Amino acid sequence: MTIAVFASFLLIGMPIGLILASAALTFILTSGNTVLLDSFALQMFNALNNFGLLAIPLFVLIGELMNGSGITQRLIRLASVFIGNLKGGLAYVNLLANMMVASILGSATAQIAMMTQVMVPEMERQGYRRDFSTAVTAFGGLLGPIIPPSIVFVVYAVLAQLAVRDMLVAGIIPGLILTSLFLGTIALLGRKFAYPQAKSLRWRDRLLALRDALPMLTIPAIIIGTIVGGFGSPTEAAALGAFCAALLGLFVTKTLKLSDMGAILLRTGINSALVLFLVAAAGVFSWVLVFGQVPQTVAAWIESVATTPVSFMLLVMLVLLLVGTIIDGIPALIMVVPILLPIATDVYGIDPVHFGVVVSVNLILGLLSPPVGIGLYVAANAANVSPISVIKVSLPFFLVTCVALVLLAVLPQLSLALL
Amino acid sequence: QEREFRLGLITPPVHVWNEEARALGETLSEMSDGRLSVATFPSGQLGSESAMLQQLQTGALDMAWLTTAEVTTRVPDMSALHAPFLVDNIADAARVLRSDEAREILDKLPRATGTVGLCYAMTGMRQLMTKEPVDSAEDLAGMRFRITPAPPIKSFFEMLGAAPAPMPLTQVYDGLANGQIDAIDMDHESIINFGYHDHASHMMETNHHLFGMVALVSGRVWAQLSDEDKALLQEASQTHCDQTIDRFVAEEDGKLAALKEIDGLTISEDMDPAFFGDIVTRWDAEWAEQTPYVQKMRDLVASF
Amino acid sequence: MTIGRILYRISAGLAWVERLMLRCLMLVIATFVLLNVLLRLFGITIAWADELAVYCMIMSGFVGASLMLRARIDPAVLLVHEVVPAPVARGLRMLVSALSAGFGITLFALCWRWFDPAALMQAGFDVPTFEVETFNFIYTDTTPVMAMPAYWFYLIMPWFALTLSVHALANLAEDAGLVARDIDPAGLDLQEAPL
Ligand code: NA
Ligand code: NA
Repeated sequence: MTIAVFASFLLIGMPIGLILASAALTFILTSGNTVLLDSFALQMFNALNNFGLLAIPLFVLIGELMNGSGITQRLIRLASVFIGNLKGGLAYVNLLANMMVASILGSATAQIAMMTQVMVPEMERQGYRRDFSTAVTAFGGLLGPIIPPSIVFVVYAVLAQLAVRDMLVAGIIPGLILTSLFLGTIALLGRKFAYPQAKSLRWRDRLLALRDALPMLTIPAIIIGTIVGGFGSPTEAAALGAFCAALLGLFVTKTLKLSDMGAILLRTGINSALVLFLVAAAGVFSWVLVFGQVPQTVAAWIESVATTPVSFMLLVMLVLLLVGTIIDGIPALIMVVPILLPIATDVYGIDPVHFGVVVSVNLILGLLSPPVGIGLYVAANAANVSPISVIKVSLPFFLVTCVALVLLAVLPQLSLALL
Repeated sequence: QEREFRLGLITPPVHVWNEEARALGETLSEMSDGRLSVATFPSGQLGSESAMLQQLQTGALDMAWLTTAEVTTRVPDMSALHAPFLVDNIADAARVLRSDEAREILDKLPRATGTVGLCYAMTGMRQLMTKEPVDSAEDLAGMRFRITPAPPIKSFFEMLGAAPAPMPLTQVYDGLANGQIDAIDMDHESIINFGYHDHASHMMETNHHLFGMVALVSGRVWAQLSDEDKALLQEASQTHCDQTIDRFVAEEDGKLAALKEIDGLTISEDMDPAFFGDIVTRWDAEWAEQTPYVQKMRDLVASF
Repeated sequence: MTIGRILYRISAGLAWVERLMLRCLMLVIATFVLLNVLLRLFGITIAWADELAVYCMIMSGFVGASLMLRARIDPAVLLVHEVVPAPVARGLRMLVSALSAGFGITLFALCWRWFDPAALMQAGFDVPTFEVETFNFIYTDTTPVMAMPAYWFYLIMPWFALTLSVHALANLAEDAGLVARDIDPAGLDLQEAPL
């Protein structure tokens, strides 16, 4: 019944947040466990009661302020100066920008929403197709929760009682592998999409771009410096970055006016609510499933089917890909890790850190798995483009990531080498 | 009729609490010839401790093993268990938790929290860990201490002149790494599990308060149980509360020894409460106004 | 005034309030997180700043979701809408709006049970009596750091349920042709028109 509600609501185009919440209600009613109804609204509220999520509105705010101040354009122009002559230069710049942000943001959904708004208009302006630009940005956003620091990895470390540092370090090589695979994919896709060639710049123009962008570099410098230099949490780094972006916009580029602030705050609120409401709905949905012991049932089934560690890993990956399509990384982790981890370590002898890397990457990839991955819709929505065309263009990226995932699953060294 | 109790915990499956909670299910099943059983929900799957307390109130959750700190907000008497330097070793902490005085506090739970408290256990004694060395109590002034959000713990650190910063356990490691906090209030088990010494290399073995657990049953659920089932549940829970306490008492020295093996971690052993000045007097003066159990607990420990 | 017009007006009024709320919440979040990190330079920590910011973020999630529903920009799988003939798509939109309103009304009913104003009144607004009779401790829940009554923040849930229902019904009325739809009914002034 719950599955029927879920599928039919999905088909008729219900907002995904409301689908998750309605499916939770249906599950409660059909399982006869109506006592859960009295905690329903509170659980939705509690799902957002998490300091880590606070980074989302603040990073969206940075994005809005940077756009409003013309800072983004100047930074991208600077990046283009270095790879500008390359065909498809801005697509690579996009990935590198995502990788840079990757070292800051912990949520793939948040990163996708933010980067799409920053990068896609710029790529389109230079002549890239909007669906291609959106796909590149969405998969670039996959790097966010893998390259440290990653909130997803921190949550896993806590669930599995591992040192957080170990999990974060374990993400470095997988993050680099994915980045290089994506760069390669862009290069290959160049045969199909005629990437625009950025104009060859004269040295004078390059210097001008550098001069314009140099003060703007204080924003990433402040953000990364705050985190690496040990001065604050990612959330606080974001607040400092936003403050800095506002100052630059008001006093240096002078394209930002105080009277714009109301509109900027409103857009920030809407774009972060896009992610937050999904987290709330997924929170109440997974809470209901946990009560119904659905994850346990799935685990029992897995144990009966998989006979070797490798077949177990592959099966887990398939299941997680499905779970990940509708449930964001953190709620999904909270749902499955306590069930799957003991099986993985006790029955199949898998290293918990290695398992954590595979599970996390897997769930995050689920966000972008066609045709229902929420991340695809978040990106399509933010870029104002049809999800179908984004799905089509992003297929090569999806396949490449699947290959990387299988490699990560069968080669524990990739996760454990740096420990 | 058959009944499966849903029991929620904040700790991960490998934690002693979870092992004992699962064992509780087996014991209960044996005692009732398979009629009663327990399904555990570890790692805060059902939410934070305060969320689980709310679910006990609505009856969504049947049972939960929560820290006594969580209950202090609603039951001021429970704060007496967190009195600073109440006991100086874990064996005495066990005696406090098994005392009649502590058990009396459980009588306040139904009215104040909508839950029934069956028994106490613990997760060891709390120690202080700092990034910078501490030579005198004055060095603690201004330090940002991560604490478990509970009024008695908060006032202890405020009285030391520190800035208490409540923060979920998930953020503590990074909080230390990125300088959001300078120090933590933590037990051996968690220090070992999470490796906080990577970023806070000075530990003071203070045993400054015991960190208790209380086994709770939803008041709504309790009211529906037969007297026979209530007795079964009470007895089985008591057995595993006691086993939890025994395990922590037995393993505490081994954990300290393991911490001493760690390179780069400086441990000041057997810290004297006098190092912290008249903190006990001041804390007792403030909290004695809120609950008579502060004095009762001090008298109890004096009698050991 | 027709029913469509009435819904349109109420929805517009609520959206105005929600936009104001959302701007204020964002401002509070940014200000207090920033203040806390800047004051740390001087060794000052505002213990409650993070908690206040988190509660504002929670509320913003629901306020924003309600506005997104009115503007029809919340993420949804619209594959079917794109392939069916226009009248069928309009029917689907009406179905979605009706179901969304149904969800909002259900959530409001659940919130009513949760806050239980009837039982509170019966208990003569005496909270301890209310708690003993209902096992409902909502009115004595406090936030961990600020120790503020938590139900002030919980009120966002019935408010969300209410505004969501009204916005969904206004969308339904517009699809049914009872009233014309604006280009930007939620007043979000996004640079590009929503899908
Ligand atoms: Na990251
Ligand atoms: Na996911």
